Amino acid sequence: MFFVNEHYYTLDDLEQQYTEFENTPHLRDCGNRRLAVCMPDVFQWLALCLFVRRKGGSIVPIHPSVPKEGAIRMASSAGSHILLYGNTHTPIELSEQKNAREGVLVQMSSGTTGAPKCIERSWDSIELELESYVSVLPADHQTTSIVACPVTHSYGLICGVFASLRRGAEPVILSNMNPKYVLKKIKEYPKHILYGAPALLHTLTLLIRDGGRFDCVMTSGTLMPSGWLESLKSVSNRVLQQYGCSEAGCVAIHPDVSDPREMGYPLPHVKVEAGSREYPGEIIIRDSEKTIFTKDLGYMEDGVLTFLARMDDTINVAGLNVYPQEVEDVLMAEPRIAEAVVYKKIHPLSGERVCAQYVCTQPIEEQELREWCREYLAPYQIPMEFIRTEEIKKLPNGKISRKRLGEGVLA
Amino acid sequence: MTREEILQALHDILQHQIELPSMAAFHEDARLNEDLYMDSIMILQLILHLEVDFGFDIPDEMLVPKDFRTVGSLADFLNRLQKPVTAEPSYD
Repeated sequence: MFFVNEHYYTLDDLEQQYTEFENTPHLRDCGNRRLAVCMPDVFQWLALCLFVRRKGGSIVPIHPSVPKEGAIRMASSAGSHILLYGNTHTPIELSEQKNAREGVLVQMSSGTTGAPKCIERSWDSIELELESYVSVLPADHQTTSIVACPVTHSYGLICGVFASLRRGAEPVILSNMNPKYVLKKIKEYPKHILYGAPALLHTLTLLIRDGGRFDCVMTSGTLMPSGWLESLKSVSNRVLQQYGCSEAGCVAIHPDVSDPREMGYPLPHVKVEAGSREYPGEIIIRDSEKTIFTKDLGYMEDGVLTFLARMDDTINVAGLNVYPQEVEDVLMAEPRIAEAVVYKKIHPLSGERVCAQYVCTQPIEEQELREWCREYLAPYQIPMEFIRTEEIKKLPNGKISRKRLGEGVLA
Repeated sequence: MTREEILQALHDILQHQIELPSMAAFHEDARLNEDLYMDSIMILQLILHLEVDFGFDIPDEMLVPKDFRTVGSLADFLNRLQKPVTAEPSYD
């Protein structure tokens, strides 16, 4: 069925896990309920996700690095009834309120005001995406998906794991991020498609030796610098790229990338619009149910979608989205902080990083601020740079420009 | 390399290659995550430089998080790597 690192799980293992879930009251009755899950055990998480889907319930995946208080906060804002933190046996009860609909996968995304909003996708719409995705992906059941990215995120979960199962292949899920370990696995499966984010792929490119080669490599989540793409291509049979968003999942695939900005051909189940090369416009996605305004800027040419930039302030830390408002909320909850603003700066090697300016009523040690953040936020969400200031600069209209604050490079 | 030289190598990578903003906190007991604020991408870059610039051969097994907890524990780990393992045969 699938591997998690060295461990092979069979369909029987999965059925056995289902039986265990059936004997657990808060899981057995999960239809029409919303479960937030933050668990380090990849097999348990995937089994639970499949179980809840089968039951018609809803699931809210939370990255396993998120601390308990932060997970409770995220789970509550997503309307979860319970949170399973660390294990399946001790549910944290959160709410009894009914949500407008269940039978959905919930993911956090940015709203137009910068406040995180919950994106709900029905299991049916995910099925549709999978069918469409598998129909254009140049891989058969003998191609092993090697998933070296988080399986709580739709890229790893839907495209990495679910799509692989759907095309009858057994995915290999790697939760150990030792790049040498990833390379060892690559060697074990000569016919593969590797799912990773650009930073990992680049590291692997520099470490691969002895004439080793990648078969197919999929990149997504953030733009790969063209130099990185060139060197990756030189050690790969084929480099693919995919583009999408939380609302729609994957909407375009490039089967053989040469320009990192080229996201490829729209999948058959969606219509994608953007401007032209001369007049780029917002990328707009239409599926059978809805129209999604992505706030990404791009254009279509010869049937290929090209991405230019994000239109808003979302901070993309190696493919994981950080929403300034969410981090600001945590900072502002510290009693001594009067005002805080969170914005991004570009780090020359690592891409976008979270930075913060704050005004305080009493002095605060940076270490204390970090401890505070660590209680509520995942490591990737915690600002790298904290600047104490007398006043946060505003634009003439009184608004804060996160863009202006973040201009320049992170020192 | 002596353990001292390994510590110096770690310092140089973090200072010059990764350009870590929190270098003031660099110390043998500094925790990579909590004190130096390194995230998983930076650890990835650190491993890369140890291999490519300093010739360490990081094993292709699961890494033990404990080895990557502090600057000192990482130096110990790298120090152990240099010592040839003779007790166990290789199956490669």
